[in-house]
Amino acid sequence: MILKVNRSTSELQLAWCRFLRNRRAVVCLWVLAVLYTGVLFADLIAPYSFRTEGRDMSYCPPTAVHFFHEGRPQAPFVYGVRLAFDQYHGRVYEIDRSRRYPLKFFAAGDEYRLFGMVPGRLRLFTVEKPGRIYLLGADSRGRDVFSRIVYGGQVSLTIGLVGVAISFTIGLLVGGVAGYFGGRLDDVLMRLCEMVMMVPGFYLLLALRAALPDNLTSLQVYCAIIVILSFIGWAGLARVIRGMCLSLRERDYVLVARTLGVSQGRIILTHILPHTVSYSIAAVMLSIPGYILGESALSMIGLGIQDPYASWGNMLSEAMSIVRIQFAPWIMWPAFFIFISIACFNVVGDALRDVLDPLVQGREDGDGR
Amino acid sequence: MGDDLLSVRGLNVRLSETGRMLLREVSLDVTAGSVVAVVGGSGSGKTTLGNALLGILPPAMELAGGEILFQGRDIGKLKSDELRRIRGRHIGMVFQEPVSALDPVYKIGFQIIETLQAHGLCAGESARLRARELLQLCGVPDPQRIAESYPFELSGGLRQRAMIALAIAAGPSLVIADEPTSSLDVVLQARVIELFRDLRKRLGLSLLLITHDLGVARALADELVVMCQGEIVERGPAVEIFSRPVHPYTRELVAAEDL
Repeated sequence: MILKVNRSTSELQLAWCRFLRNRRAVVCLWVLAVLYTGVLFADLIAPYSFRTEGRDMSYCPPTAVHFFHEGRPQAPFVYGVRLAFDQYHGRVYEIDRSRRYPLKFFAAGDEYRLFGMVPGRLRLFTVEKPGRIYLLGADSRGRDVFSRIVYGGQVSLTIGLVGVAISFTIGLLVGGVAGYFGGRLDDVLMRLCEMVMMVPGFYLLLALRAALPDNLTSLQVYCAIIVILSFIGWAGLARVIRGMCLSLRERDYVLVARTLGVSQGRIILTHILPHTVSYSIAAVMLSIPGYILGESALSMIGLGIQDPYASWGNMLSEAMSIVRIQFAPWIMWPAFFIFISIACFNVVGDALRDVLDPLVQGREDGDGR
Repeated sequence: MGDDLLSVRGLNVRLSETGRMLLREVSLDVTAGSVVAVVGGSGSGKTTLGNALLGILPPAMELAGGEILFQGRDIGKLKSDELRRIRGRHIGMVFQEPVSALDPVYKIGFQIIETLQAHGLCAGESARLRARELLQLCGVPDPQRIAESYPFELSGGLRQRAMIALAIAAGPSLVIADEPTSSLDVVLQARVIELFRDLRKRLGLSLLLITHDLGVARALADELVVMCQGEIVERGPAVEIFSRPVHPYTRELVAAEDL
């Protein structure tokens, strides 16, 4: 993209243009966009609800979509499967070629409430009952892993955003106040930050979760996880912002704002914190993975989102047993999505840091090309 | 004494750590509508004096006695929130470097409006109109466009005018101008001096001019205060001091101007 540089082109616009030249980062940004759009419209995209079970389809392997039946081209369809046992009493699913279920697009499936309000049944694709389509296989209770990943992403991907929003608000305010006022207040706030940072993150996470009652509803757990993760995350940022504010408060325009009678709070909000934005944008991107991992870790060990609700972490709790992974490797799929989203956030964050940091602007963004 | 706008009595400022005195027993008066120039060499304490008056001394310095009476109130002893209401509204300040004195992320208009809002003077559309009026008053051509510009889009002269518009935005009766012309070339200096004269005539503004440039002081000041090493060595009507300097340091200053 070529941008005409004129007098009103802002620094952020220029940085954005430099960002677009980094192809790898742009690809990652698109991947993230697809993931987030996917989970936003999870109800439409997932063929089943996250709680639709099929007890006779436990650990059913991924269903293949066929386009040919006995050599003749057909509209896409899936074969029916039948549960059987081999000579070792292990479960095997046999494909029953006599039963064919064509894929139905935009057809009625499980009920849902889109965005929690609009009731509907429309699904992007599904198959006629009693046939079932398991794009990425089924879990122990015969629930569709693909559908659960799409629904689980609603939790796993949004916790990062909401958590980061909260902890950055706290971090910016604490850092801004400490850096601007300095003195005793600065000492107190920074010692507080250090106390939070001193405790190893994961144990603090466990301790805080343990401090909360364990009979919470799923929404309460969701909020609790966000609060806990934010509580851990704000301190590091506050320290950096405080350092930046120490130098920003010496700027002439801050002094001018004071001589004009602008209040201290407003000076921090309008004349100091906006100047940390280029750092903050990159820092936000680079800290989201921590939140996704934190949620996954909590849910995986059973302290986060509870069954039947899905999150990428609690889906992985099934994958903690090596025997199950051997028997049904597809229950590892959530890990793949965690990996992809975290990798993308890191690449995008790195690229943003490169283009926003004035010190590296002269450098060629070599590896990005 | 009755019509003194600002009256400083025996002001002392020292470094908090070592206790070294930076200003010793400084006293001066600014009567309503007059221009007082504080002149002196580098390090004579002129800027410290200006900062002390508005309570914006760097953290390493502190007031160590003396009174700063503004309209009869000792503003040196006010709480920070009361002082905030005086700043901008009653006493404005113009700085030397218009480049760094305006926040680069906001348009000129926004910064003027912010000042108006800080004192609850006006808001919304009327504030925007007022900002344009102020820019026009300060001789900014095409004020509407300038109000919508960022500081980096303006020339040094325009920025200094915008800075002055900002300082007088909330309608102060006294403006402290700390080296307002020192970073400008001579032509722009002359124009800014002209602007101050104009503002004084139109708004009845009093001016405490802090400068090392005797030319500027001569052009604007009614009264002169000469500072040397944190002390006032001579003061009186400007005409008199220029024609008959008494203190050796003043003589040196005046002589240096003619070189």
